[in-house]
Amino acid sequence: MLSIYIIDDHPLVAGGIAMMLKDVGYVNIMGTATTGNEAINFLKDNKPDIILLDISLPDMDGLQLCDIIRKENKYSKIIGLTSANESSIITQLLHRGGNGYLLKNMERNELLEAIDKVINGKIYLSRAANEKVLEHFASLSSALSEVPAITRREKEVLLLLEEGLNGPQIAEKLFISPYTVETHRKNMMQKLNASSTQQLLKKAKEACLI
Amino acid sequence: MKNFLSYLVLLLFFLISGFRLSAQDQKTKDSLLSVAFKAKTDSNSVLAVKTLIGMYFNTGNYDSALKYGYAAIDLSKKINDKTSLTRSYFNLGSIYTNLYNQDSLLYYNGLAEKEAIELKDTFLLVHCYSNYAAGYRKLGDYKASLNYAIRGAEIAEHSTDSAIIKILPMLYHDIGATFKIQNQYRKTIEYGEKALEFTNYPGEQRYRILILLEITDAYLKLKQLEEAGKYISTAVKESDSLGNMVISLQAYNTQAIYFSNSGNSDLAIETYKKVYNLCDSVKDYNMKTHVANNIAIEYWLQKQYDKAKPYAEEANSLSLEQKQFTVTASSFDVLKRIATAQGDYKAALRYANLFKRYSDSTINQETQNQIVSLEKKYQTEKKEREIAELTAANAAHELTVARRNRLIIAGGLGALLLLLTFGFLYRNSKQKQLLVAKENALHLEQIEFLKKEQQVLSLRSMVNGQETERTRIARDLHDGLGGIFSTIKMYLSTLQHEQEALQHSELFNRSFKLIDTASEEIRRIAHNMMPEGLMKLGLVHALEDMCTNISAAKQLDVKLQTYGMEQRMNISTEIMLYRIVQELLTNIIKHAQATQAIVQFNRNGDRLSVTVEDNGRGFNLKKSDDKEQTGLETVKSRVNYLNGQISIDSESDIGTTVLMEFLVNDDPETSQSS
Repeated sequence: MLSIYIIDDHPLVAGGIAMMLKDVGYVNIMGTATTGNEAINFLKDNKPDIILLDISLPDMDGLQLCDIIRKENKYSKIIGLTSANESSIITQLLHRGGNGYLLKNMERNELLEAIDKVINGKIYLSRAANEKVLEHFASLSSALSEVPAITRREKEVLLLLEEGLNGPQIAEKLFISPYTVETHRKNMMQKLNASSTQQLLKKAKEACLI
Repeated sequence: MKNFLSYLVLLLFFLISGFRLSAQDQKTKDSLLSVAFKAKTDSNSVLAVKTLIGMYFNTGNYDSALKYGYAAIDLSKKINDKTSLTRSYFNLGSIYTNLYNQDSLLYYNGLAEKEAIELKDTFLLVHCYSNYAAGYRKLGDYKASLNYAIRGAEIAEHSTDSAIIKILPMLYHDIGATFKIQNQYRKTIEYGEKALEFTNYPGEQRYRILILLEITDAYLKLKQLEEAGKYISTAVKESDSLGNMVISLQAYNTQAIYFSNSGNSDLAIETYKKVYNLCDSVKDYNMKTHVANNIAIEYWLQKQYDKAKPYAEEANSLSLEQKQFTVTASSFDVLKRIATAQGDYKAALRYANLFKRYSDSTINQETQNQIVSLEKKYQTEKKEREIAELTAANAAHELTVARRNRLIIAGGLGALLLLLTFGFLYRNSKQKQLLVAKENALHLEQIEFLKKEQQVLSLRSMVNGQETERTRIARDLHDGLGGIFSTIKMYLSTLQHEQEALQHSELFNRSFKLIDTASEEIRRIAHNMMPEGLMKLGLVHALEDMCTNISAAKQLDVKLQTYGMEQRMNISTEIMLYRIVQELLTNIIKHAQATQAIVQFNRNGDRLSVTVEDNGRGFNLKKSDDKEQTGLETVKSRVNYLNGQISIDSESDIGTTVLMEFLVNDDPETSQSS
């Protein structure tokens, strides 16, 4: 028997989930909570096998609640529930010890699949969420591996700096204010982790930016 | 030899002009002259000249004394005798006092004072103070006059040197005279009496007489005729024996005033006439004016109008010449009275009007005196400078240079003064203009500032209201409608499981699909309304989501770069920045036909710069009908809301760079409450 606890401020949704699970013999709904605090109180004395956690709660943030639960309880499997399909939230949930993620407009099969997966120690992500997370990690890895890109304007400033021009001269040449030139220079220094203009030029050359 | 001749000529001139010298005196003077201007100059020459000066000075021949005064300076310079030179300066100053030339007095006295201090010659210094006192009194600067006299008296009172003590009566006289001008007659008498205690030496007679006259005058002013009579008779007696015309003049004048006050009109007229005649000899036209007027008044009192008239007329013309307008007014008054008494009413009316006019100017005389005194002070300074320059020059060229310099300096000073005046006026008016302009600019600035603040405030409340509303609708969609649709879908999927036949019902499947679409649509709309990630996790995460979503949809390859963005900003700023980037990227997707875009956030302390750049076709910033502009307007107003700066740089077929700069604070709480 798998015990399941549902945390969702919307009684209708909790009812829907219960409805989908009513003829699944190995599943028992332990209870439902509509607020974070109600859930915390219940979970002090109970350790359900699976917690379905709505990310948007009226009294606290679902991600925060995930942290709180995880502090005391490493046992329960937590599956996030949300209507939003945002990779940042999905990844954050996983960071904080969540075991899966379901969109609220799930089908019965998905729910059962998710339960099956997390109970077996795996991560479940709904199909749509799965895609998001993959995209996200793809962009993250590309960002990590790549040399920071510089904008066109920054490149112009960089080239003129290499020619030995100073801020005001560059400003005059590019028809922009000296303050803007200074902003570009500082931004590039921050980007390339350079502490001086000389170092900036050196690092830019090394990175083949100029 | 030439010099000697010129002095001789001078001497002859004075002999002719009625200055009576005894044969004995003349002999002494001749021998003195021959000693003074012998071929070889020595200390005896100076001594001789000084003796000559003394002789002329004591007998009231100040013009001659002046000539020899200058000669003494020349001779002292020749024999390089500093003490002698200093005394010569002082003597010259004293002579000028009696010639009513106060600026020259102050100048030469100043030279003497300087030297006296250097030579530690207290005797001379006290004399200088006395001269200053007299000079400033005559200039109308009574405060300075008293100041010098009292300073001199203090030194003299504490001295044991009998020569210095002898100066005391002179100083007391100065103090008394100044007090008299200020109508403090008791003080004048007090100081006069004090002075008299010290004047019982031979050779001090001159001062003694002057002091006696001062006291007489003070008693007259106090209407104590008996006392005045005692002092005046002593003064006249002593002045008769002294033979100094200037002193005699003053003694007789005071006596005449005494007679007049005593109601002894005949004696008054007789005495005034003595004074009147003496005035020509000593060239004291100032006094002559007063005396002529006084004689006219006396005759008028005696109803001898025919005798009064010529004196009144002379007083009138003399006073106009001498610019003694007080006397002018008075003489017109006398003339009016005479004309009235003689029945010439037409003349009387004319004189009455003139009297009125000059009395008005009399009132102004005080102001004029002040101006004159100021002018003289200025001229003294000027002269001091001039002469300091001149002393360096060759003695032969001294005069011509002096004349030229004086002209040049006078002209130069005039021009300079004119220039300064214009400059000052110009500057004044310009400054005023600048001030007004500045004020206006300030006002405009304030108005602009208030306007902007108002704009920002209304925008802020609008935007805040908007964002709050969006958040609420998003939440309602998610939790309310979204929840309902989700639940319907759950029910349907359960139903589908329970009633297997339904899996083959096309209508059920289409309904199921539509429910799914609706739910997805709600999610999308809610997300656009307010991304959950932005609220929960912050700007960077929300931007990552946005860029990932856009890139994933293959609409545009968007690279996000964030530096120094670890700390969250306040939520409304984050929402605003999110909206700005969202708007710009939407714009790029819709219009730019770009394949790549970079979104870059750089934060350094309070400074945040945001760059959004694409490689699209670019657009013309000046073409207002461009659709991209509408999106940019929204961006601009949002940048404005954050008090940021935006610069848009678009190049045809190369792309567009939008650079925005903001000042942000670190406190994530501040705007959540607002």
